[in-house]
Amino acid sequence: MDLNLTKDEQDYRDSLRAWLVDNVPEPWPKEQRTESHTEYWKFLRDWQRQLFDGGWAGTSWPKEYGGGGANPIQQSIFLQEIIRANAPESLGVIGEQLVGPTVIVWGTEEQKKKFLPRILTAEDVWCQGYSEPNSGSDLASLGTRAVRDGDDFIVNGQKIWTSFAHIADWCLLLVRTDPSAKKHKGISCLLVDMKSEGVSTRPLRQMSGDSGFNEVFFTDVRVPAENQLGPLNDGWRVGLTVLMNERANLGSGMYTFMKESFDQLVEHCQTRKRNGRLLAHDPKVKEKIGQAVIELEIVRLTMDRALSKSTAGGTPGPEGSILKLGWSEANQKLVQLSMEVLGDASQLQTFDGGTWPYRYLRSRGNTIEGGTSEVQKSILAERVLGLGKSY
Amino acid sequence: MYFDLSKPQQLFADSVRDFCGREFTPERVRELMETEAAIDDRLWQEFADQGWLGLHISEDHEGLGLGTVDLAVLAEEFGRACVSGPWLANTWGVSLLSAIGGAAAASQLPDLIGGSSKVAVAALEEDAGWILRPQTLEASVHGGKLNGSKVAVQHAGQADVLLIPARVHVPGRVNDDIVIVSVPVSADGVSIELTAGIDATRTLYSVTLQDVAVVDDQVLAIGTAAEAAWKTASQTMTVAVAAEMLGLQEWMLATTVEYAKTRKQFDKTIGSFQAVQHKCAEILQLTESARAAVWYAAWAVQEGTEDVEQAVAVAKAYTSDAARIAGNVSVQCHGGIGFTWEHDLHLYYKRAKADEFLFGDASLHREQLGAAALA
Repeated sequence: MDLNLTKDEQDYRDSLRAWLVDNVPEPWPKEQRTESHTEYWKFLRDWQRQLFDGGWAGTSWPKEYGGGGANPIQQSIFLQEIIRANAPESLGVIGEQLVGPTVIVWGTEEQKKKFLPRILTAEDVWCQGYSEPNSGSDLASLGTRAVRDGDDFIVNGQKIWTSFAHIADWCLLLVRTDPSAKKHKGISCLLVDMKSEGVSTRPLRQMSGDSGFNEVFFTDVRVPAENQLGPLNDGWRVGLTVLMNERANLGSGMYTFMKESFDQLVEHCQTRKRNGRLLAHDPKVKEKIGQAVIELEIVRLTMDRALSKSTAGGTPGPEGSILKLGWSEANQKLVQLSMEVLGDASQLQTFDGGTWPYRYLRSRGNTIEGGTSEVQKSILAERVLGLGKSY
Repeated sequence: MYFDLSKPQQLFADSVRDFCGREFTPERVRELMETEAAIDDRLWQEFADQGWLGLHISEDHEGLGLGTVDLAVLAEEFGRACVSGPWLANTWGVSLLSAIGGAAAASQLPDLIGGSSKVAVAALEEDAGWILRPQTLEASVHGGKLNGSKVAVQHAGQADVLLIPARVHVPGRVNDDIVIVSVPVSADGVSIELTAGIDATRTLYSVTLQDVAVVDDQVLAIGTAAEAAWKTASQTMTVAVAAEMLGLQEWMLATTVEYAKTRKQFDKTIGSFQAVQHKCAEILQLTESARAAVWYAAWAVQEGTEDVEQAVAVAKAYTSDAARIAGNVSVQCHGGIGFTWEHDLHLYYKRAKADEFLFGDASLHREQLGAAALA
């Protein structure tokens, strides 16, 4: 048992920190991100290019594909440090974290040569075409059709909750290629050029105000057959590779956001008053802050345990499966607790730039995205505890 | 970073589990808990022979010289078997003596670790809880005499010696100080009365002290030295209790899952109903999260990290709530039989409740954590 970072891990963190200090640009003002969105997206692409030039793109990718060959602990360090340094958001997150590793596993040599380098430089921004209006938790029931026509597939259908679709160049798309086969067995994976004729996107607004995700419509879209990723009618396994990577990586970034939010809350407690008394002196506030500390530590320690296991070469055990369930519930508790402590002012858009209502509302999506809490619990029960299927 | 037990520690856990599987079956625990000692001499000597009465104590004092993580492993396995009797009480006294050090430790520890005598720490009072403050203690040493009343003392009735925190006025100091004294149970003025608690696997006593003579070599520590030793021992013991609760949770999880897999209703195993599945998943989440917190706290105490106080408080607060909730959910999943005396679940349920209080419940630690974060 040794919870200290090894010398290698410390060196990795220190060299990254030093690079970030020298390279992170001034943040693009929040108010200007929607109005001047084309400039904002260029700013984000430039940042991605900067990461690439600095050797920090594709940290989790094997070195032979231009990546950093980082182990899970190093990947976690990277995700945490990037947030700590207040770096711009990652346009390339889906390409880098999800698509790239999947192409590395399933792609032909041509596909790897064509797509991987452009992910690293963010010349291509990717989105992930998975969920549909009628296929969310039951993803395998998806209905977007791909029919073979000569050298192409013709795609018709609709995807939903597609992050970055409005600016993406490419889409990793799950489609049904054999409607007569049993659900999971008729699915294939296609890599689709978002500039193809017949592709259109419509932004969806979240209750938090963001328009981070979209509906994507495919009307007679021609996709070259050479863009099929992985075996025909065996695309479910390709899709699972993506999901596995998604679940593995989300925790580290979330923890850092939550910690920063907590630090901000503590600062307020040390300066704001209620009923003539400093918040920090209120025993109820102390207990709530104490609870927040516990929530954060449990997220951090569970994450570290899973990272340690996967770095040591094992598959994370149950401690890995509870990660997403854990951080999503913890974040919801934390934002609720924060607004209780801060009181009426916390609902105002003029207080802390409206960050508290934003975080509060955004947190409701945490227990739904990336596998709902109910699905997570069913997976734990079925696979970890061996209780079999349930409905 | 390596966040797991070492291979030797895993083997140690296995060997304790095997031992408990033979010697501390639920039937045996039920027999033992009908007695005040809740242990028999043979088992106590087995503990001593294995080194389990002084696992984390220096070899200079006949301990095994292992670390807090190893102690946590032992405590967890004992929790998994709901091992009854004075192991925890004795370990607290041994830890306190070890922290105090000096002649007291040298003279008393070998027998306590060797199994020929037992110790109990009498800390709580009607009006004084887990945070030791001289001003709130009623027990006092004055003119060479100890007076006071202590409550909820684990296994005082089986102890040969009691370690007792009291208040004392030291000449030249404005406020009273903490003093830790060592008193033979057989001394004049010491009376011990059985007081049943919620958990029958550990016997509680009230201890009344009436003009008990205290001579110099019975005064083990005063003032800052007493406080420091108390804090060190409390940290170790808090981890041990949290680890025990982890073991309780592991048993509850395994038992509940096994029941869910075998009990049938409506022609299906109850484990195929999503409501029951999700409850089992919740117990799993609580247990795995508790493990991370307990292991980290044990390592932090072992290494003396900067954040050791926070780590210990997090572990105790989390497991206090988690073990209670796991117990509640386990009983619920078992339906009617989970509510019976006949099913073993109540042994664990009650132990979890008693442990919830030891060394501060979740509420106490939350407030301490909050105060520290806001300072």
